[in-house]
Amino acid sequence: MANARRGRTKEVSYAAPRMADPKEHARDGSATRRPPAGRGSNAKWRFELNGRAAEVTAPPLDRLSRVLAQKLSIKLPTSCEGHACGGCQVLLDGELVQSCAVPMVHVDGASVVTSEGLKTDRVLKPVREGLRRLASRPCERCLPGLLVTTRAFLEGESVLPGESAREALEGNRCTCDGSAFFVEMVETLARPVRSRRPARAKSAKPAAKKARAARPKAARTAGTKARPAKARAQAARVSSRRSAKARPPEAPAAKKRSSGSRAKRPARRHAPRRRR
Amino acid sequence: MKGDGALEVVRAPNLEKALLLLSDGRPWRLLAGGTHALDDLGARATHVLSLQSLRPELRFVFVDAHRFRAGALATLRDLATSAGVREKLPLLSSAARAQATLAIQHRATLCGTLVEGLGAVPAALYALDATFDVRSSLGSRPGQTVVTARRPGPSELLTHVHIAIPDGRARQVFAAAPEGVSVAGVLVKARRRPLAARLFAASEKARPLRLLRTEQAMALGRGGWANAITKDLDPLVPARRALAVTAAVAQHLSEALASMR
Repeated sequence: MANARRGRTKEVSYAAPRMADPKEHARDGSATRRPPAGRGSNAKWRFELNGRAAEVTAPPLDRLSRVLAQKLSIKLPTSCEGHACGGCQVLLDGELVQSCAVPMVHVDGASVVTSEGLKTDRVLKPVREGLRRLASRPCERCLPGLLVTTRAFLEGESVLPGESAREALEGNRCTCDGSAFFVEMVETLARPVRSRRPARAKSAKPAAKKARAARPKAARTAGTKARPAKARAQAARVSSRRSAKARPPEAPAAKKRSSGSRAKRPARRHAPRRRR
Repeated sequence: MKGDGALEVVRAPNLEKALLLLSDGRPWRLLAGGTHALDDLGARATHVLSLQSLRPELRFVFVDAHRFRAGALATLRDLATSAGVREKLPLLSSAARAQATLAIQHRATLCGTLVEGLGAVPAALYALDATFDVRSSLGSRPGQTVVTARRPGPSELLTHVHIAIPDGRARQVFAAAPEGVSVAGVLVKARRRPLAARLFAASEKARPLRLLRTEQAMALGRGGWANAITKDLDPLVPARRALAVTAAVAQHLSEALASMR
């Protein structure tokens, strides 16, 4: 009901100063000096949308998601509007936000980037390539939010070093199969992409190099040699047979056999020392 | 329902102007981050004061060896990513991360979360015995303890939050349990003294409550305080999920105790 009321232009008046001239407030000492725009009139908002200047007329408490979808024809799922699905996530001044939780009064003069503005983004290139290879792609409703969150996770300023992709993408809730595949893919991609970031590379690289140099050469090369696929398969078969033998029903028999053989075996005696 | 009421939205240019506006007698509703307020503002409010323009004054986090000080408009993400907070107040940092998803953390503010009073961050602030400053055009009420203080009135604005950093003997505990229940606490064990625990639990739908029985059971040191946890969490957790929640909380607490020995 509240949203419906806000959506109607006749019931909303905007009496706020546009803040174009801050001195305007200082002169008379009142922040509400500017006369109300009148009942039914919306306010004009100027902001940067995907690198281009945008101007839109909307009520001050209208949600950014709704304005983007309805007035600027940006593909954003706007059905939830309860911060539940995460499909409408955008970057507001570089910070990941849910556009359904941002009123237009907070967008004035800001920079907004949606998933459409990230089509040629360098950071998301491996993610987009990975998307083509996925068995099941995320649906149209969750993909925009997933891409924006991934961008913020891979290059965002405020991501913690130990934070996993799963934790970052937690806010994108969708029941489609593809979103689960997508999270796994980002988890795989995140490590090399995030390690390229200069702030962390500086601290992490020298320590890793030192540790590598400290290890003997044999130890360094031993772990890196990969066994051929045939040998790996054979080893897997052998281990599966062993594990099958060690299952609970057979375990007592094996134990009995081993204990019996130990019991029958004669006690070892030290051989007498040879005389020189 | 307020069918034809006009909605006035004002952006305060600075803190002084915001306080002047709040004292003019009109029923102002404050809009800080917008994550909670935006949902119910339209239905009730006729006058909305946006605090976003006060960010240069009130969005900061300061931590030194003895105290934590943050502006009311510091976001949960600021708390989660601040190196000082992570080092000195890991409880608050963990709570900020557990409170909401990444996108909400970027918008939700400390003052909004504290006034709303739901979730992990209020529980952590209660456990750390935080204080806050309230200002109005008539004066200020500094050092209000979060547990006992009167909530900011219609002409008042919560401006700063302070926490005295617990000393080295204190162990900060945060447990995120099922059903959206969070338990935040500070345990202190001094020589020849019983364990002093200060534990609070909160959920996404309930304000923090103190786990007094659990505190007492831990101080007595007899063990078997799972029953006390279950009884304490009774108002927050449905009976069918009580076992899982109690187990999760008990595990965190026993791990914290073990690390103290």
